[in-house]
This record gives sequence, structure tokens and C-alpha cells, in this order.
Amino acid sequence: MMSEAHDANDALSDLRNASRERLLTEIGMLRQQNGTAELEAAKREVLASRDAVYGMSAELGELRARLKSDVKHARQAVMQTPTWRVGAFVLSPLRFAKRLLRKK
Amino acid sequence: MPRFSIVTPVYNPPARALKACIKSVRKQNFADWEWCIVNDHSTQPHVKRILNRLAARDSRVRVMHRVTNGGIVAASQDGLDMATGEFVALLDHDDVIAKRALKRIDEELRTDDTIDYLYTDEDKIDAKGRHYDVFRKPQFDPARLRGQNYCCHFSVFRNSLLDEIGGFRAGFDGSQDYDLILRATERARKVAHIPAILYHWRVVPGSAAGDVHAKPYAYDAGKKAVEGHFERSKVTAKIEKLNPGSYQHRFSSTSNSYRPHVSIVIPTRGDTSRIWGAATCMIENAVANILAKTTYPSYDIVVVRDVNQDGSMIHPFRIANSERVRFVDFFGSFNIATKWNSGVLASTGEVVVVLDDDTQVIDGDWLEQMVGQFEFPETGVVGPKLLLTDGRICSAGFSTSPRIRHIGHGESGTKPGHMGLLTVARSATGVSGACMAFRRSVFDKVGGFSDRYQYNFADLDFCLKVSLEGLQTVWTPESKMFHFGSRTIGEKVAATDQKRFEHRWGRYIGSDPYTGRTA
Repeated sequence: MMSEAHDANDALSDLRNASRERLLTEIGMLRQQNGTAELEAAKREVLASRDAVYGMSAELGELRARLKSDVKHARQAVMQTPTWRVGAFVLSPLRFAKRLLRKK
Repeated sequence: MPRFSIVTPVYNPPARALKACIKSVRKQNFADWEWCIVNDHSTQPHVKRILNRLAARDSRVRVMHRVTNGGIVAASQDGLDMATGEFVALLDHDDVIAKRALKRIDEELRTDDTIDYLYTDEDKIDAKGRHYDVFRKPQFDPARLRGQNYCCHFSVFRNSLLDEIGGFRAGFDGSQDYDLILRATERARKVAHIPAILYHWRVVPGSAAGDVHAKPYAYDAGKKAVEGHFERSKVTAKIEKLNPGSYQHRFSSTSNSYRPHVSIVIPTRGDTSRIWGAATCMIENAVANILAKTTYPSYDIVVVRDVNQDGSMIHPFRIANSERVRFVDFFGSFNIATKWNSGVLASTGEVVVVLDDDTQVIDGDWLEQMVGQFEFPETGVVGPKLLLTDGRICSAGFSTSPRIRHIGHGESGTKPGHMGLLTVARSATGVSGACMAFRRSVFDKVGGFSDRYQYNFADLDFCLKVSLEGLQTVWTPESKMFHFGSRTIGEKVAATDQKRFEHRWGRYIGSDPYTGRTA
């Protein structure tokens, strides 16, 4: 702690005694560094936004695929119910007749 | 004009095999076809007899008897000249097609008018009619086609495309179909694959199906066909015969004109681990190896190092001064995607390689082999062959079938794998982030690596995002590297990362377009 406080005092006195030119140079460097940091942050934001767009597009594709799969499963489940099977059996002569008519 | 013209050059097939071939065509549950058979002056009398009887029985069959033996190319070209159908299917004289083959192909062709070339899965049949060696093929993969004729049977071409490319070429005997497929796919508007076994390749003594060494001349012709493909693509590479039916292509920084500046981004904490029995600082080892071995002329290394808030390194390490090496300080909590992004943003290369610190370069031209793949415009990401310390394979790309896994993990590094999967450059769903190269423009376009993932899947997610741009991820065995394993973060998959990946790409898990069900 003692050492850190000592270092800080040294730095302050160093700045107090610094020439105007040196201070201006340091201010310029700090500005440049901040500018670079801002540019870096902006680049990261652009990347994150683009990733989000690709991610949303992928998620949309995923939802579509799941919906398709759910519809397929629901359809299969309906076709396996006794009601559907009995209905298909009852209507089978009609289907046969339709096929015959189409052939003619 | 019939829908299909089946073209079959015939030369002395066993009577039984020829009859089986005839039976399989005549039993098709699709009628709109013609069969152009060219008897290449067979010396065995049963051939002419069987073919004449067939032509008399079925008006769709046209037989041409050549007066001299011209060889496979001349006979096949005569067959093509006879063909009047919209599509041409190539069938060998002793092979068999499935009863539903033409119907299934017709259905597929009806889905898209721009399909100019189509191929199906295949298997082999022995003398007793037993089926084996099922080959479930990947979706169209131009990278793999440069290394082997994986499309082979059953191949169906739009007739007008064959006219355009001039049919078969003399001088490619034994690999005339490979040459034809390469030239057709270069011009085809769309190539389709039917994932169903519609062709059965008969193994008879002396056939290429049974003995890969049976026709050595065919592999010289194959090499010539691949060389021709590279020439037409204006890509310089040295083509070599790898093993029968497979060809390697190697790039060289001295002969290749495409030599962009490459930035190698290596994230590290500066950890030390035991490598081949010695305690080694991994980043020091990785950088020293790259600097000592890499022959690529224009590259720099960006080391993304973990530092404390006061700027001191978490695990200090020392890297010898080199104008090629730069450092980027990383303050945040561990997130591999953020570290990769930091490194890439700080780098300048037109091509960027992200590399784990627990890797070691094996060959000096590792970068040439990876960068060379970018000469093909459809390539978006490239990954090398990653090896374990004992020489077995660590990763030959990612597959998502039946679950997310490294292809070939634990297999011998010298074995070719199923149907040569581990010997030739080919496309993959993804490649490991332990070593992955990409163009900076692609990185910018897809938004870099997604920092939603902390430990796993950022690499595969990146490859899948790139695939949405219509670009392919290519794995090449010509670039090799040791990967000492996930020493820093452990091999366990983070549950949150898994969940996030499934949220985006769950539909890809369970099926893989490049490895099918057999790899």
C-alpha cells in the first residue's frame, strides 16, 4: 500500500513538472488509444449483429423443420387411430371404383 | 424422344452376368427408355446371340456390332452417338440396376429442371449374387471428386450436356467415366444425388470392382483426368496417385500464384502440460514449431494472451523476439469465441488461421496445403488432419451423424477409412477450431464466431453459418498437425453450449450430408 501511494505521488509530480509539449503528445496518444478502442468496440458490435442475424435465420430454419416434423408425426398418429382405420376400410370400395373409372 | 437412353458397351461378359443385366433393365417399373448396346467385337459367340435375341424381342433395344475391337472409350462413344433420349444413363455389361431405378431417377429429375447430372448410391454383388460393400455417398462434393470418382455408378447425364462437352475422350481408357463426370460437373447447372442403392456393381475376376489392382492403366488415366480438371479450373497443383482409385493434390508456394498474407491467431493462457513426457509450455512450443518449420512466405502470428487487470500475464511465458509475432491482451472471462474474434480483429491477413496452443505443426508446407484449397471459389473454411500424439486420428472433420463427433477419431492415421474417406480432401459439415482457416471476408460476412458459446460448438456453428452462404468446409489430409487434446478446458461438452447449438442447428443432428450412415 505504501509503495502504491508512493508511486501515485511520483506520477502526479511527474505530470505537474512535465512540459506542455509532452502533455500534448500524451493527450494525443490517449485520444488515439480511445479512438482505437471505440473502433474495436464498433467492429465487435457489427460482428455480434451479423451473428445475431445468421443465428435468427438458423433458428427460423430450425423452427420450420420442427413444425414439419410435428405435423408429420401428428398425421401419422391420426392415421393409426381406430376411427381412421374403420373409415378407410368403409371407403375402400369407393377408392377402388375411382381407380377403375380413372383407368377407363 | 425417350426419357432415358441407357448406354452399355459390351465385351465378352459371362453369359449369366449379361442375362442378369438384361433382366434388370427389362424389369424396370418405368417404360420410357431405350437401350443403346454396343458389342465391341466380342470374341465369345454367346454375346452376339444373346444381344440379337434381345433386340428382336424388345423394340426399345438397339444393338450395334462393331467390326473391330475399339476399346471401352470407342464403344462407349458409339453408344452415346446412338442415344436419342433426354438423359443418358451409363450401365456396365455385367452390372444390375434396381427395379425402381429409372422411376426413382425420373421422379428426382422432375423436382428440378436444372439437374444436369445425377448419381445414386451403389453396392457390390459377388458371383453368388450376395450384396456387400454398401456405399452411401455424400451429397455432391466437388472437393472429394477431385480425389476419387466417388460418384461412379449409377451416373445419369443430360444428353445436351454431353453434346456440349463432347462425350468421352480417347486416351482415358478405364477412367473414361471419371473424366466425363469431372467435365460434366464443371458445366452442370445442378448436380443431384439420390440416397438410395439403385446400382449393383458385379465383382467378377479381372474387374476393377473386385480387385483395385486389376486395371493399373485405369489409374494412370484417372490421374490424367484429375490433372485436366485442375488445368481447366486454372489451379496449379501436383497430382499424384495415392492408392488405386484415389489421387492427392499438393499445392506449393513456389508454383502457386495465389499466396495471400496469412494471420495465425493463437489464443492461450500460457499453460504448461506434459507433451511426449516433458513439461512444455504449449504456446512456446506451438509458436517455436511454426517459426521453425513453416515454409509459407507471408504470414504473421497473433497470440491472444490472458492477462490480469494490471496487465500482467496469468501464466507468464516467453517467446523469442520475432517480427512475425504480435500479442493481443485478453481481459475477460474465458470465452473461446471472443478470444478468436479479438485475435482476428487485430490481425491483417487476407486468410486467417485460428489455432489452439496445444498443437504442433508436422510438415513445413501445412499452410500451403490449407491456403491452396481457397483457390476453389466454393471453399469457405479449411481444416487439416489432426493427429493424437500416438499417430492416430484426432479429427478428420465434424460429422453430425448420428451425433456430433469427430470423424475418424481414434482410428489409425495411415488407414484409408471407409471408401477412402480419410485419404482424400473432401467437404465436411465442419472442422475443428483447433486449426481452421478461412477468408477474412467470410469471417466479416457471417459475423465471426458466435460468443453465445463459451467452450464448445463455436467452430461448428461458424462452419454452418458459412454453409448458409453456399460455401463449403473442406478437410484436407495433406496438411497434418498434432493436437494434444483439450488440455486447458477438458473434453466435457458444456450443457448450455449444447442447448444453444441445438436451438440453432438441431435439425442437422442425426443426419450428415457428407458422411452418410457408414463413416
